[in-house]
Amino acid sequence: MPHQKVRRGSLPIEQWIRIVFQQIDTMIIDEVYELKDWIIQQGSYTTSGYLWKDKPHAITSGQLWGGPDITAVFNSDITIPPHFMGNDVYFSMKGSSEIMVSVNGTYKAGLDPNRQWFKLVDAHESLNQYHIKLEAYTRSKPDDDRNTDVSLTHVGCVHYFEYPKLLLLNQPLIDLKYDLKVIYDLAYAEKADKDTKDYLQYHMKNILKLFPNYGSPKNVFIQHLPVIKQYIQEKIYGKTTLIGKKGKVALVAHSHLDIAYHWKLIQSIQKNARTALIQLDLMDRYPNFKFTSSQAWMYDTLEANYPSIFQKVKERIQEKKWEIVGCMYIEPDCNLISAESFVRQILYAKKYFKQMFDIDVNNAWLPDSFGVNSILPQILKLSGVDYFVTHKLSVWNDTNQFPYTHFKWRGLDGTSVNACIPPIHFVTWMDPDETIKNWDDFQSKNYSDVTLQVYGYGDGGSGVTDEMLEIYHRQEKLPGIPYQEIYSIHDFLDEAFKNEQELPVWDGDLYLEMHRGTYTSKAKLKKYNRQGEFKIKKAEILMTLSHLYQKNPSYQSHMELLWKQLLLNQFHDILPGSHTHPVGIEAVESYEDFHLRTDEFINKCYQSLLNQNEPDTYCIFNPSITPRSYYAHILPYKWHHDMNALIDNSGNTYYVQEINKANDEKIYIAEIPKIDGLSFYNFCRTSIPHKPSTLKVSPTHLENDFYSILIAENGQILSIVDKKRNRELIQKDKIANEWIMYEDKSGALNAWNIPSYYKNQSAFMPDWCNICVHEEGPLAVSIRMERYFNKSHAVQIIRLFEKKPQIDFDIWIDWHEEEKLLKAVFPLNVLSKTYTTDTSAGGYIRKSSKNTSWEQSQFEVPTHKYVDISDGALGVSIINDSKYGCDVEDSTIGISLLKAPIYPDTTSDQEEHTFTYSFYSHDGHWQQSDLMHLSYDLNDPLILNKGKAIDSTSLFKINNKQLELLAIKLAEDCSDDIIIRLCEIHGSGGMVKIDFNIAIEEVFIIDLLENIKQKLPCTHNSMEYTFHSHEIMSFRIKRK
Amino acid sequence: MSDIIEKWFNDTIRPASRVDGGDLRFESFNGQTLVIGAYAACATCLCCEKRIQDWLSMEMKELYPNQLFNIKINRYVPYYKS
Repeated sequence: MPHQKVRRGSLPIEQWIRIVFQQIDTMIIDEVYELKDWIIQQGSYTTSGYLWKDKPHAITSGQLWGGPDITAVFNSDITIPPHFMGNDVYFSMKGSSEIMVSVNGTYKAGLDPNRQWFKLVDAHESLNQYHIKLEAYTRSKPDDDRNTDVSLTHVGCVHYFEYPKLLLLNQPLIDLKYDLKVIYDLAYAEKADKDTKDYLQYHMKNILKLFPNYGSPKNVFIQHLPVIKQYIQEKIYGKTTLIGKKGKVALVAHSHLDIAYHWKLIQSIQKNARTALIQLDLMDRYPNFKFTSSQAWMYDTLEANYPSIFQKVKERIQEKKWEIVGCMYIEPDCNLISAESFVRQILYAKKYFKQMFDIDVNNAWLPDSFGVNSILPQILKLSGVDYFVTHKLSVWNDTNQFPYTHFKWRGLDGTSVNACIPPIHFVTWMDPDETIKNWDDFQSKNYSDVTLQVYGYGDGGSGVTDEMLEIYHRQEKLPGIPYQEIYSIHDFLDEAFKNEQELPVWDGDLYLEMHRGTYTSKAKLKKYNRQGEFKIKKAEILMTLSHLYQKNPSYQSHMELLWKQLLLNQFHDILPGSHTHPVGIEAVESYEDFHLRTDEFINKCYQSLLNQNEPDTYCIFNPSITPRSYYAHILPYKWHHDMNALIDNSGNTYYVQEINKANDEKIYIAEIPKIDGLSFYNFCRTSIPHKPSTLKVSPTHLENDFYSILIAENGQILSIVDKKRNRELIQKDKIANEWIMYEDKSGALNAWNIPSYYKNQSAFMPDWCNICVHEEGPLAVSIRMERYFNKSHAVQIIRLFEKKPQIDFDIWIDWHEEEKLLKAVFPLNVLSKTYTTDTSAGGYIRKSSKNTSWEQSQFEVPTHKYVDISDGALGVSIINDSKYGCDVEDSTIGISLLKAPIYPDTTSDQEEHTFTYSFYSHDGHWQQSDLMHLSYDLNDPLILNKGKAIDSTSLFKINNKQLELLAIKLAEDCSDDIIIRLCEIHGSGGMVKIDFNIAIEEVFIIDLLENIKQKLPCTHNSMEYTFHSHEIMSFRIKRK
Repeated sequence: MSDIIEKWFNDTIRPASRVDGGDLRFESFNGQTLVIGAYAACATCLCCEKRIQDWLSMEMKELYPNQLFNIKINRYVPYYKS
């Protein structure tokens, strides 16, 4: 018989002490009175009231209540028993539900897995009758459940009803419970130093001797209480000088609240209200307690739905006990949103905080961001924000330790902002190991005296508990744990950065070595966001022109609502795809509504800018500041196929061709002349003789003046030759646009992550089939092919154009995979050690080698419209219309097309997808190429509209190709001034001259909040400005 | 009746179960026994046995007051939880 290891020995002393101490937990309730008369009604919460699924009915102990996504409302009229009066009486309902409690019609308290009771009646109160209403939302996974046993035993969305109770609590025993917990936790803390542990463990054993025998009745414990308390006071508390305390921790109370995650937006409104109630109550009972809360949207919805709670919050803000933290509308994802989206997140939030509270917030609070774009420091500084706080890089990086805690974060254009990445997570609960680790891992000790610790349960709100504050007051008196002090974030940041001249500098983006899958999960949302950002920009330009030229009223407030709808869905668990199925459904509905309303708005603007009464007239508007050419799109309902061309005022004709996209949608494309930036171009329809095609197409070959493409019989692209540069662009014996479907077993963080070893395994991909010529010119030719792979079906159309130097891959996929990552891979014959990704406001250069752990960890990176590799003489860009993830290694670009997570949405991305990506080669570096023009063309194609432009002149002309337009809008102050925002995208300084076609009184350079910084000279309606590399510049134009 | 039960389940129960990271899927109904699959957070939840069974029986009784139904739950615990 083989020897088996047997564990022998008595109960370890550590465990025995814990068992003895835990007896106190069973004694803290002196008396219990069950409340038995309850009426329940169940339904769904909406902001307009509940949608009930049943009628009010009595409920008794043991009966089932709740259900998935159900809110149960309990009502009862209670009478405090006479022998309870004259004491503090507590109301208790044990469970894992999230409960808002009203007493006599007023919101009073919140209950959740982290707190089972609240004080209902003060000892001096004479009133003994109350009406209690409980609004209880049941969830299977209470997210704010850390460190509690309730969530484990009472978990689930359906419960057996237990009568709520009135309690009389034994406060001295509760105090002792906290004393023992604090001392025990530190005595056996992993990170406490030896002296502290030896000291406390020695005295723990002495305290044990003062306890009565195990199992003694409560009255015996109470008799021993004074001796135990005295011992603790004399021997343990106040001994900090004996052993010492190391370091200083600033405690900032906060409750991280994901506005949608494992719950829908509507639940976060209740969570926020519940959290606010709980923290307000703590402020009443702990005079030095302060709380911070972020996100303007949370304050706005609190006011709209819980005005009484909001009013109390407002009072506490004025008293400086409640602090607004974070300058943004919501806490967005910081990789996937454009520069202008960042600007609006701050603009609308600051506007709201100023109007509502007369407060200016000077910090950006993004604890849960999955990495941050390097364009943000400049945007923050130009918005009057001096500080940036995020957390994840210190605790979630899977490869490299981020080297700083307090530092200067230098962004793409060289602007720096003071940045803080605390050494521990943003949800902590006064565990001594957390606090000690915070100080031990604090990397800025040489020039900062204090490290930040955000405490309070969160993800789903809930916040700080009594226990945390009781622990805090006791830990102050203990050795071996850093000094802790309650701070406001404002005071902490000022103190932490008072020696800012000594701070180290981190230059570049804040890349999180984790959550790389969020660049790709929920492809549909990514597409809606990308399209939305372009669409709202165009809408705003048209509104401005409409107001300018046609004296139409400003629709500023309407624009703000549209912007906020877009901004809301940029939340860091919505846009990245890290949410449950119903959250995704709601986000899609919201986006679709946004697009519908923005389209309606654009059409309304066109109605005022175009004369739509003249029959057969058409017009194209170029929303860029630089000229655009190539082709325009015509939607089928705007075209009659009996005509085949456009004709302009000069008699030039432009051919129109029907295009059938991969999803079988039909559109038309029209040749167009060069259309100046911000101007209209008028056309009529006509018919011209059929234009012969100069393009070549067969199932194995496509060719225009720019490219010759060779395709194998199985649909694989064997060669792409750049004809103008006479270069084969694909590596020898490799395949271009190879679709590889990798196994993507990311475990519990399925929607968030991509494992670093994902390229080790890929699924079999059958050949393309049904390959045929699809379009035969004259403007475009294409080949269509299909692929059935695993559980999915795809159609790919490879398209070449007569005049456009790019190859389009027009894709439709009916995707039904699980835990797969699909990439399109281009092994390029371009040798370069670096590559450029798009930040939305300029290119960001990364190394393509994998020499160091830092380079290796960036095996998937974010990008916006393009990724480019150049060798100085020739470059290749892969442009996309809706993708955000890519990888580049050894001159091979892989675009992440689709991911298929199974958690938290079990069927994420399993639907039809349509998207296009393009291949473009150019001379030299991308800055000298047509890349920006083509990127805009793919993401925001020119559209033919019905009607004739009343005024086709451009608002202004600009003489510099380094600049891109971020926004044209009317000023927020309703002054009729025009705001123009540009950014330099090539990475070089320069000078721009802007010639306006309207009469200008004055021009100012302004910040991103539209405050004037400096007046600029302006003569004859022209201005000049000298800009620096990657500068985001905003001008305020006062008209005559 | 099976079609009605399946539609009711897919329209009402399943969407609600998915809100907080769970997933309950209709598998079969033979006139008396409803068989469902529990995925993701539901598969490992303590609630997803007697409580959910009793609750579903109650809900089905709302549809068919004069009938009694059995509920069988197949748990599909994800690999990352095992």
